Amino acid sequence: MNPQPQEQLIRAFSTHWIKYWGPAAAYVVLTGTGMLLFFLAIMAAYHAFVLSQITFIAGLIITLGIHHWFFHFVLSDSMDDIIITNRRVIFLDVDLLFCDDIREIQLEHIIAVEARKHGLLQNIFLYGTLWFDTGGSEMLEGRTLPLVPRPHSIANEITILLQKKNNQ
Amino acid sequence: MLPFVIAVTIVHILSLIFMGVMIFEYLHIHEKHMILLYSFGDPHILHKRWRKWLLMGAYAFFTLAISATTIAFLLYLFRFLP
Repeated sequence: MNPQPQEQLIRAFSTHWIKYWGPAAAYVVLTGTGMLLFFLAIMAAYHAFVLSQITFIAGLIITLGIHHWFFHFVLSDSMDDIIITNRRVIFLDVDLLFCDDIREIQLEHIIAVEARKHGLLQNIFLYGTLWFDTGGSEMLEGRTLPLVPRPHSIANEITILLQKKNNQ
Repeated sequence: MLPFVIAVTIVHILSLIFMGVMIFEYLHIHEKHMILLYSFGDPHILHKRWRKWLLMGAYAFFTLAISATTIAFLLYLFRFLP
């Protein structure tokens, strides 16, 4: 994917940090569980050695499993995934070892942009969904960007780009 | 005791292999993104490169720290060998 002639970068940013909350909470809880199992393994070592070994292995698998899962999520989602230029909007969807998608919408195909912030969390933490109307009536997955920080400001920028493009 | 030690060793080796594969894949995908952003003239590219090393460093450090801690626990358990 190379820049088109006279294509300029307007903005490149990552989706909202709220995406890390769920995995971070799971990481803390399950790492705590793993540590508790290690503690139980030590406590049981003198009286029940076999039980201690089983507990130790379970704690090890839980701790390492959740650790790798969490960092897999962080490394996959830490990269910039929304790129806006004066000619198109590019959305990069990466899930390390599983998925590496690039979706792009040319500005000339966009009729309108809709920004949505629904619910308490989205309004407090200022994130929402962007929907690009390309002529269909449904909110299809390929035309929707979730977890966009300050979606109204981004929609405004894209609308200005669309107006400039239409005036050319 | 030997099967237990072998099982723990296998889990650690698998963990280190997985970490290596993930870091390799991350470097590959990240570089591809950086080339894309560089071609568009993104001015924040240096900051994004630093963030890459910080994340990979944290991942490697915590993986090795967990391994070291569990090996220390294992050595502690050896005191109770029947």
